[in-house]
Formats: sequence, C-alpha cells, structure tokens
Amino acid sequence: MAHDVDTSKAVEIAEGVYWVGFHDEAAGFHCNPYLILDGEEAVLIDPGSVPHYPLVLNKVVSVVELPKIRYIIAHHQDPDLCAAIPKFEEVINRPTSVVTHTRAAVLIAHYGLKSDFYHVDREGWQLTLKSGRRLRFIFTPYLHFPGAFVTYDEKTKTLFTSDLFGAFSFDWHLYAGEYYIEAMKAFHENYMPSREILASAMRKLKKLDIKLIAPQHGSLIDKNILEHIEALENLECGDYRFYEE
Amino acid sequence: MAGYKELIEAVLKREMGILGPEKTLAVAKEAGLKTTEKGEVLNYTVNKEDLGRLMEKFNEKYGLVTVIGCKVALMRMAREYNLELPAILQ
Repeated sequence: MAHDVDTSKAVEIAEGVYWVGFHDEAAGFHCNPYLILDGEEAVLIDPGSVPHYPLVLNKVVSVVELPKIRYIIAHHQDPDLCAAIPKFEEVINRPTSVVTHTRAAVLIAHYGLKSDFYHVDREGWQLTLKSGRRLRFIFTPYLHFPGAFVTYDEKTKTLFTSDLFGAFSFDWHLYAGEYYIEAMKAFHENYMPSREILASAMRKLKKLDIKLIAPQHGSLIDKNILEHIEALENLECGDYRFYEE
Repeated sequence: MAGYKELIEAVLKREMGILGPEKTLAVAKEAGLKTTEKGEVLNYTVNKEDLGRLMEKFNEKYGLVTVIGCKVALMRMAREYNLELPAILQ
C-alpha cells in the first residue's frame, strides 16, 4: 500500500527519527539527510550539500532547537552529504562532534570543520547517547569508500545505510515501491566495486533485526527488507572487468 | 540462446525502476517497439539497431543516468551471449 506523505515537511519515519530532505524533482539521484531526536540530544545524519543547505536547515529547525544537535554522523566524505557541515556548525553554535571513520576524517577535515571527530573505529563501533540509547556502527569497507560504514539505531531498528540501498530514480517516492530493486541495482552496479565485497557486507546486515532501511540516496525501505538485502547480496557489480585489456 | 530481445527487455525492466513504467513504455513506443505493460517485447525480431535506438531515446529524453543505469548489466549480458552492443553502450 502506498504511503501518503507530505514531503514538503520533515517526516517522522520512526519514533523520534525524521527525514529532513526534500523532493528534488530535477534529480535522478536524491539525497536524504536524517535527524534523530533523543531527549535533550539530537543527531544529524549526512546533512547534505551546500546548495541543499537552506532547504535541509528549514526542515531541521522545524523539529529541533539547533543547539540540541550534539553529533553529526558523516558516513563518508563526499560533498553531497558533508559539504554543509561547516554551515551547520555556524548555526548550531556550540561544540559538536563529527562521527565518522578515521579514513574519512582525514578527508572531511578539508571542509574546514571546527568540530572534534568521534572516530567510530576507535570507539568500539558504537555511540551511546545520554539517555542510554545506543547507535551501532557496522563497517562496510569499500562500499564505496574504504572507510564506509552504516549506522544501526537499536531503539527503532532503523539502519542508516549511506550509499548502500541507494538508487537512481526519476520516479522518486519517499518509500520504495514495486520497481525499487531495479533502481537500486542500477546504482550499485556502477558504484560498488565487486560482488564479493558487496555480498560480504550484506551477510553482516542480514544478522540485524531491521525494521527500516534509510539510505542516503533513493527511497526508504520498510517492506520486504530481506528481499532487498538478498538482491544486493547476489548482484554482479563493478565494471572493472570490462576494461581489463 | 538469448539475443537482443532479452537485452531490450532487461533495459525496459531496469528503466521501470529508474523512470517508472509509464515513461519507460512511452519511450519504448517512440523507439518503435511493441511491448506488453510489463515490458515484454512483442516485435517478431529485434536487433542491435533497435537496442541502440531505444537507448538513444532514453538518453535524449531523460539523460545519461538512464544509460549508465543499464550499462554494466548490458555489458555483462552481451559478453555472456556473445552479442555486440551499440556505440552508446560501449
């Protein structure tokens, strides 16, 4: 059944978890920032690019007072998810930590951040908020960056997957529909390096109890989760073999 | 032995994900293909030129993402079936 969602506003996708993106009608490659509200703390996830900043900020302030944002998770260093971090730092106007992998941090530093880094690989692959809520980080190396990881919110069983489960789509809906697996394959075949590496990550994710997959590109997956994981587990991807000679 | 019909059907299936069924089938029709609403090709014979014309139409109307989104899968199928791809997919 289709979701009836007003994407002109921030959308609560799980208890206290918000999609704060926008419907970019011209794009075939949507970007999805998210926000977790947890009492007096908030976590902003993959906040986005400079051109998207005013639209994302507008959604963020509609659900949280900016100084509550204590952490910004950056799943890797690409500008479509990181470039707006310095702008958010200015308006948050209090110390924040950028949560990322060491391999990404050395590159994210070039955006000129003021925040400290919280290195997931040096902190036991988890972050515990003041309330006791735990975010777990699962390493997904080379998908598509050597320091790539995904974030699992134990409370809502939401998996924030960065580029994994993303899609090319001009027929965008906030929630994935009947043809989403094909759109997802189109993206992964081009951006992920090999079946072996992708399948290895999917085997890890299969062990989690997931209610919702929230990718940085494409649509949210709230139905047939296992079918979507297995579609990627079995996907032949990476085109290096076609350019060997 | 699979042929260009299978390649074209793979393209249509993929584009239904990227563009949605309505736009995909409209482009197929413009490229001279007869299809079912599920994207099965009804033309008696199709060839490399038909595949090339279809991809050119997708590129012209919706841009390179529609070509990139099919390219890896089509390269793999073409290698498996020993078929030559049109220039836009090479």
